[in-house]
Amino acid sequence: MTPLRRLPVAIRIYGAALWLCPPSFRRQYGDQMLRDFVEARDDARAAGDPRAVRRFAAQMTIDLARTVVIQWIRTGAIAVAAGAMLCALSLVSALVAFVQRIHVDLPPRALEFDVLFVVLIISVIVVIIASTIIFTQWFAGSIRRQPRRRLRY
Amino acid sequence: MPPLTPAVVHVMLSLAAGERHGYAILKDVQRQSNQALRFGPGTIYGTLQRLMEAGWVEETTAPAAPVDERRRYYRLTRGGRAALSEEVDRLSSLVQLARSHRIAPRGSKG
Repeated sequence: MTPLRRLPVAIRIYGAALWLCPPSFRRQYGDQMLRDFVEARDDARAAGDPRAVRRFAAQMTIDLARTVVIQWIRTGAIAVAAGAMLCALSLVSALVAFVQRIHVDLPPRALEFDVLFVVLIISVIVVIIASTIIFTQWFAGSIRRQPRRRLRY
Repeated sequence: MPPLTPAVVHVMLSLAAGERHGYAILKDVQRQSNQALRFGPGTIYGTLQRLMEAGWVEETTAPAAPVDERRRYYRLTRGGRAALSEEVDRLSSLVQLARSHRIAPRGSKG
């Protein structure tokens, strides 16, 4: 088997783009898809028509983009991530509403106030990201991680 | 049973002729449709995945004539063949209905 890094650029790009597919689909069909891509590319090049090569490239790009979207939708991960994001935003909104009720002595100087503002904004963003990750892990707890496997041609 | 998508029908028709690997199915679909349908590997394997979940297609462990042993071969199950027959019946009824309304395929004489 040829390592991916020794293959032509188009094949390497396609092999790398396969990592956008959900892991379960990639593990099951990634090798076969890459092999089919190589054969289809060879056929398109053998035709000797630049339009055939361009058509092949467009067809493969559209096919892979569709596959990535469809397969992620099939896993339900998009719905889980959206639900988790909603929960995280609700949590942050509740926290902000709570914090607004507490009296805080702001620094007297404008510079310190700006710094405080930036720190607060960053903290809120970090909380949103962290809660999204936590909620996603929580909701998707039933999806077990499987060992990663390298794609081989 | 709801109508099958063109991708599913073409993949199943390809497998109706015998066990095939993914790229052979891809080429079959192009031939069947006179190059009108050009599916990529993602569409083919996505369709195969759904068909296997439905129990209509299965992976074969020992192909009758292995050309490339690294390839995975697929074949129709009995349930898959029955589902394909049902779909062909449905399409046939549809064609008959169209003909009764004097809508015939272009280039045909009847």
